[in-house]
Amino acid sequence: MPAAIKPDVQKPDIKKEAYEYGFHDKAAAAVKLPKGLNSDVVNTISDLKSEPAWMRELRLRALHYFEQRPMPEWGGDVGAIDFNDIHYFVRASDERDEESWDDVPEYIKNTYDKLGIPEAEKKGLLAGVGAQYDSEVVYHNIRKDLEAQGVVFLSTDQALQDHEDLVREHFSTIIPPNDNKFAALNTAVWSGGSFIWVPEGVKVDIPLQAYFRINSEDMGQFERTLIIAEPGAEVHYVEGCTAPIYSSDSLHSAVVEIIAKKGANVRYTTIQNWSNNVYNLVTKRAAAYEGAVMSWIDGNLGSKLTMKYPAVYLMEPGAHGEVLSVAFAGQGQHQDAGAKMVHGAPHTSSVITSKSLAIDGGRTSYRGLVKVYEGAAGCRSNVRCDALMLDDQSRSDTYPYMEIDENRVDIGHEATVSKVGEEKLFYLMSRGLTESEATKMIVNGFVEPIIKELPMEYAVELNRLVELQMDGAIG
Amino acid sequence: MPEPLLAIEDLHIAVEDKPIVRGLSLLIHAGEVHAIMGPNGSGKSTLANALMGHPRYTITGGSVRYKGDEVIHWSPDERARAGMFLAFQYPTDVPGVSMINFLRRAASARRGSEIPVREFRQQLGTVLERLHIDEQFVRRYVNDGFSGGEKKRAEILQLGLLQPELAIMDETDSGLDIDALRIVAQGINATRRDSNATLLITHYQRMLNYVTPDFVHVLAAGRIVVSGDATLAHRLEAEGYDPILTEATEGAPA
Amino acid sequence: MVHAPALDQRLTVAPSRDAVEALAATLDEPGWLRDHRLSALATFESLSWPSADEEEWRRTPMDGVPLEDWELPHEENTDPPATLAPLGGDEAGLLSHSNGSTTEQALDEALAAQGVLLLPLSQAAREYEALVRAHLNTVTPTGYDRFTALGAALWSQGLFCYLPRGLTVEQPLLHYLGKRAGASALGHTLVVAEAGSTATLIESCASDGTSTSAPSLTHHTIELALDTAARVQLARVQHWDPATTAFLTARARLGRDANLLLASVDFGARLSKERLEIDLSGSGSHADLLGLFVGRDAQHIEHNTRQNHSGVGGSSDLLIKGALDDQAAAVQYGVIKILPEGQKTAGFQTMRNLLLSEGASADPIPVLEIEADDVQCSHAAAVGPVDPDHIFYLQSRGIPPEPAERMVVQGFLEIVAQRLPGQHLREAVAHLIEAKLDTPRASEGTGP
Repeated sequence: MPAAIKPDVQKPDIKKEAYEYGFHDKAAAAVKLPKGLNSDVVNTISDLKSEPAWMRELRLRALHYFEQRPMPEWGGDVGAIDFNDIHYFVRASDERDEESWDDVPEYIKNTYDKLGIPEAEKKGLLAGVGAQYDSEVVYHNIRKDLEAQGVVFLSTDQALQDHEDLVREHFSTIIPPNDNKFAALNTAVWSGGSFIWVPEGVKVDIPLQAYFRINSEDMGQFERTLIIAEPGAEVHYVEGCTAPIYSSDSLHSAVVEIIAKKGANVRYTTIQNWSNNVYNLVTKRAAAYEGAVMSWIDGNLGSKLTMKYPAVYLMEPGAHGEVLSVAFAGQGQHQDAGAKMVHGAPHTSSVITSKSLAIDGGRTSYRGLVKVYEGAAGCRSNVRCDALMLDDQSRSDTYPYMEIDENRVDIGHEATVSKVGEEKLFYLMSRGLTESEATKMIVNGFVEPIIKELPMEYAVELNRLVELQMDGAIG
Repeated sequence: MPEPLLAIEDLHIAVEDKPIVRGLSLLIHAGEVHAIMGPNGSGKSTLANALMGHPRYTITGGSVRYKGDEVIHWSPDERARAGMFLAFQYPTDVPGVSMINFLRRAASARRGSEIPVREFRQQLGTVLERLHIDEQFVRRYVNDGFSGGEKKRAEILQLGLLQPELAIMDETDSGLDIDALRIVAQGINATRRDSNATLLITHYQRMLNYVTPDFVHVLAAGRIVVSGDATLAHRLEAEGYDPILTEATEGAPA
Repeated sequence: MVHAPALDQRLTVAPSRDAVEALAATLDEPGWLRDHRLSALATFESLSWPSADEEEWRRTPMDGVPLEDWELPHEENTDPPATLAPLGGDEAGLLSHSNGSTTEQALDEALAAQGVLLLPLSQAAREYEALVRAHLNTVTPTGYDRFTALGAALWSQGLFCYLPRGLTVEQPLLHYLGKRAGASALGHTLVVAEAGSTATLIESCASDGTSTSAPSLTHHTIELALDTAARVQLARVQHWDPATTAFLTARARLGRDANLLLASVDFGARLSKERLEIDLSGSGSHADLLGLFVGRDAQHIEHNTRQNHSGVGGSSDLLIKGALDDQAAAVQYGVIKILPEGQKTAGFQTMRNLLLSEGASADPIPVLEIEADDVQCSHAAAVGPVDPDHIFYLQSRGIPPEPAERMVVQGFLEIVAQRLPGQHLREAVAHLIEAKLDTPRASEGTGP
């Protein structure tokens, strides 16, 4: 047994050093656990957070599952991940969960300024904002009127302190600790993430946002998000992710659980733009009850490898699940993304739309499952996957699994893989666009069905990111 | 005589190694409207696409000078920015790209600088009004799900907006009903200036009732076999292609 | 009561050196083929049965598959099964196998004179050693998996078909494969089509028996080697008895501009698992893959297909359609793989499953793996019941619902059936579809 770990406590370096290009902060962390994972690390995280005993036990149980489970052999290549070479917990600052940006350490605030988060909040584009820096949430705020209606929007750590019963009732009920190796890992070492509870009938009209930032090198970020929409509630949650470029790889392994009760409407939007050295292995799952609508909008542009298949379990009649996914893989990237729809009740419906682009040796894989249980009559599911290949170095795969055990259903799947059409290019060029402008325009048109589902500022952002990727690749 | 806007000299064009246009020469000056007529398979569309630089059409001989410059090796977009325009016989669709976005990009390319939004909207509004096109039209995706008539109108809309110096209209009249034809013809007439020229490619004389050409050329088997003024078109309408082609090939000097 | 016929020879043994040598002797095979079999036996012994860890075996219910305990008969003068689909009438040649021996053999004399061969594989190995040796197990290696190794060691129903350069065989060549219930069968079909040759081969396999017959195992290997611009159509109708577990491994290699149609039509067997794999390495080659089935009772009907494109400008088109009633289940796991050099490829996959009862199920999985950019690929998969609008339309013209549904189901399958080669085959398949749909459910049946 290794000796008990002493947290490596340091004062934050207020005099921050000049940002390098790619702007990671060189400030020292307040707490940074040594690399490696064992029960002492898990206990230390639990101690640092002063958690109730049940959570510590859950973490230790999950650690056991994590150690038992083999690495997945499908999907992307995760063989290079060295679990002993990762810091599992980095507390950037002693200040946490601040409600004013003025109280956030300046070097951290600067990071978010560059990402435009406080600005967007000021403009009233967001109903609430959470900002996670390495392992913990450094800023959290929600519009006062929503707070008055009882909406809870906290970091999950804070929620465990303030609303323990609510957290305990739902935590790990949608994604059990032994669901898969990376969900087990997250459950063992989770830190940060958002907790949202929307009371019955309350409609949150504009999005709540969280922004996730990995700053430290060789770091693992394991945020844990839990959203509970009571009957008739509505909420839209948006997350963005970035990290600086380091020579070594980082691991991001989140778990997101969502419960959409009768008639609730939950939309979860992700614009993932991790730097190309991040393994992004995320488990996202929602349970939708009678008449509820759950939609995942998933934009994957960054990371070295993403494996992410947002799921909706359609538990009661009338539930509807939707996944809209855009994946863009450039040089050295593998986006293994998709969706999972489980029809467990009659008259449920689902739609999966996937658009993927591969360029410059990148690889995109659509991997999806539509499962219909016997007795789930009258289900409808439609899956549409389109892939665009931008050069002959790239690769695109489509793995659409279907398990249909009921006959009174209407299940369809269609997919296409193609390159940018010569006719389309010529048409646009005949109107004066250069080849690269024309290609970009066709690519933008290709992803348009997803972009138009995004809130304006995210649509602009995603378009910009797609163009940046294209610029990098086609000049 | 001023320098011609377009000078085609002994042009040969092949499609997949098969010669289609075989020694075509034509001079077009600013201010002129030319019509090229000919039976199916005579090489009309090949000429139109090759003039715009379609990669599938190979120039195997001759030259095409636009404003004095040899353009055979220019890319299609270079030609467009220089003021050449092709109204396609079968415009392709570009799903997901809105007309308005596409038009603004095209207008900026033609102008050589980013066109300010307000100015663009004003210009677009004027053209839409003139062509009796509803504003909702430009919210749709480029040619996506358009009817034949809508596609042709979209081409004329672009003609009006981009104001080319040389407009090549490839069978713009085919498949149009008489009202649509009139609107399309008005669109062509409205852009007629002393500084620009139009090359109408058509199978039927009908279009020429609305747009009066200065010159009419008859194309057969990849060559211009006879040229004349607008009356030639009326003769073609009355007699069909055969007598004129026979006459031409029997040694009447072209 | 099961009537056990008198056996001339019966191999009820685990695969062994003795069994292989006895079989080779019985079939009067040359030494090289016996050695080839023995080497396949060694391969068989070195491999294990495929496991559920492998993607293409994950959905195959292997419980109850008689992997160890079966008999391989070699019986002379047995009658072909009554259920064998009659496809004859216009054939250019035929070869019949039943219970391990050749029962009939014929070929048009003019074709024979031009060098066409249609022979039992053992005889071909004797008389055309160089030709057979050059091709046997080159398209499907013996060690492809344990089933093919077993087949290579112990096949007794073998066919060799050789099409000389530039020769066209207008009428179909037939291969009948029969067995009695309870007997196992291992077969091998090797087709070598020289440049520019053209032919159609139809295989029909059947056994009389019921679901209460003794369980049996069949495996059949098909190897198709098509040289430049060869055109071959191979259609197979499978009608084994419902106690049979049937495996098929059909693989083809296509040269430049070669053209293949490979069709499998499935009615019988409790479990039918067919692997249809095309290697389109020749530029400009084209393959059509067709699958058609009707599943009843607790049948499991599975297709694993691969369209591997490594040649430039190749194209392939897969269409599988099936109707499933009672508790029948279908799986289609099909991959279009385009390697980086497979530019200008067009690859298509369509899988459609009609579920006629509540207990029926289907898992169509069309997979694309694309590493070239100048390609056109699409796939579609669907599962659903008969469209009520269709039924309604027919009803509104006076047709009662049950025949209306029957019409719609037959129409659904007709899309595939009409692409099968030969009028006789199309008619036979139409009858078999009708008969299969008409069969009373096992639980309602009055059968033995």
